[in-house]
Amino acid sequence: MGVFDRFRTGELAARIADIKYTLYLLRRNPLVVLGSMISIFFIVLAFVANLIVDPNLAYVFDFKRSYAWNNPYFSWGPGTASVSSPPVHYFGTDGWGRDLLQMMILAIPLDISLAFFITFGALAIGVTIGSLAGYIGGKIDETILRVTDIFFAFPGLLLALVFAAIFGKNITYLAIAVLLVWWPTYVRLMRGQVLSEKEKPYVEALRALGAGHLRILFRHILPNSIYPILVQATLDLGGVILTFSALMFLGFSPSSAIPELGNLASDGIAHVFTAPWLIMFPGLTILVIALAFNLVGDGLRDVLDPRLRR
Amino acid sequence: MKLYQYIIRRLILMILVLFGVSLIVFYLGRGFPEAFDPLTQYITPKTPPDVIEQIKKTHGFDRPIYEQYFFWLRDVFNGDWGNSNWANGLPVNEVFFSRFPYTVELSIAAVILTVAIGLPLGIISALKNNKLPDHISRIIALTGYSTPSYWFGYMLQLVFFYYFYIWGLPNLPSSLAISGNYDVPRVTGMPILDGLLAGNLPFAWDAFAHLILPALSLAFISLGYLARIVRASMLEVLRQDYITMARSKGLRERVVIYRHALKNALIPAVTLTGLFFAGLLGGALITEFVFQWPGVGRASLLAVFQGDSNFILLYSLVIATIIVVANLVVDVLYVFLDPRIKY
Repeated sequence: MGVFDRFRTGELAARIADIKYTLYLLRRNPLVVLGSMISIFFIVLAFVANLIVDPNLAYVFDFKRSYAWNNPYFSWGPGTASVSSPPVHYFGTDGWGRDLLQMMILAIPLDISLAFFITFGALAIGVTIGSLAGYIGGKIDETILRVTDIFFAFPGLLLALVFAAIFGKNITYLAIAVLLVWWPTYVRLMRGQVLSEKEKPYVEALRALGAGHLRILFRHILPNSIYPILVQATLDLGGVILTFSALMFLGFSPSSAIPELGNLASDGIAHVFTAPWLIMFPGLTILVIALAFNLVGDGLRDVLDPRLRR
Repeated sequence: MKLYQYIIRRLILMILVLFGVSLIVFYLGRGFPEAFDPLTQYITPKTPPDVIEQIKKTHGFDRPIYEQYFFWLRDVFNGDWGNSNWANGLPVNEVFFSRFPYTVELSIAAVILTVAIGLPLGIISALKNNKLPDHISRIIALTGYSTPSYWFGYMLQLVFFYYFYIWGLPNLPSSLAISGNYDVPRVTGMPILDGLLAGNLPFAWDAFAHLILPALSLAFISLGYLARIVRASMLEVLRQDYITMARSKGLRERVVIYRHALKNALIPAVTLTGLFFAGLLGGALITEFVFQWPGVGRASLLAVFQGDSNFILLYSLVIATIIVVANLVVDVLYVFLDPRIKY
């Protein structure tokens, strides 16, 4: 059997048909279409941001223009500083006198890539541990459950803060801090899925055929139980950006000059009423990105729910 | 298994969880002296060296970390949780419990708002499933948990505090829990209740005005979630036979929905609200930071920044207790709400 035949018959063909049907269902939901368009826009922007805006502009400081508004179409009212000499700043400037719109574009690659890195890192850890716990059961399962219990009994943000304080101010470590509080959710989800899946007749049939445990678990149970976890991951992409940017906002940023959405907003804390744009636009961007991922995830959940499907 | 056996089993598990929490937090809080040096909470620049040596000895700071844990455990069972230098060197438990009522007040207000808005929103979107009201409630829900809470908090301040003032409208206060001094007797520690108890209505009113924006900011994040849960369970219930039965015997739609369907559909909502409340009691770190609310969430943030592991230990243990107990209460409540569930 050639490689291409596998696409037409057998398991792969069935999975592809399933994905096609899912996409068809998704296309009928306008909110999902909107969400995926916005998500794709930001993902593409993440790849081309450094071509649109010169990344070196992040290190060009002009303190004469700090916290200034220069947009002919809108005025914030009394109390805000504005400059009228060119260049025009449609979203104002930050404390370093840099154009906020340019800085927000430069921030997209970091925020988007961290969202994917943290979510899929947590997903990989959680799925591995969770599926093993659910499949093996017994004492190992009980131990892993108790460990996740401990993690669920904290406010996650505080734990991330403590990790961040220990690791020091560094973007990579900050991302690891978020990852460390995120994985238990996936363990719980995956364990529940595997528990319900491993009692099904097909698993018994595989065992009778002499399939090994690892093969049963990772080749058969995993593909059948991964959908709800992927939905959760899509929803979490937004949550991860929110948490990470909140850490940066609260002051765990290595330098306030780094273009990152939470970090840019953080610069505006002391200037909420004199330079409101500095919190408004980066925060709004985070909202839009998170909302886009959530719209896709929410639609996916509806479409993949077996009770509502077919 | 009988119910009381179940509860006892869960309480034993709770002790295990608390033990685990204390181990992890102790390791994180004491194992990394560059981030959290426990000594700094006990000394000032003027403390003489021999006193420092004395403090090191009594608290075991010169011992290996696993021995320090037992020193800490001994102190805790004697009621000594350590001091917080950033809060004028007061004992940690005093710092915590003087701030906790503020967080309780804020949590209650946020939960009331969440239920008052989220519940009707959920019912409406179930009754108008896949029509405009449902789509609107879905967007509100998703926007709610896509919103950075610091952003929303500052936007509320910007509009209702700053621009209302500029436009000459009556504006709401943007920070702290009361305007002036706490000049009513502290009975409960919650300014609104204390104001009412002392009969000082202007004080209570002022405290209420301070509460609106932070409570709204918190409720906005959770109300959509509640609405989605209410909608899902309502749809599930409306599909069941007894609802068709109630309709076919000619009951009015209002009676069917409010007397028959809602009662059962509310079970998941009740549990969710309980868990929300427990989570909020842990202090909304960011919202309390944005509104300078003097609760435990902001205090824990300060503690992290000041390297105060004493406060973080007490805080995380109290919060873990609240969350675990809330989970237990919710599970037990299920038995009473839904007679089909047995343990």
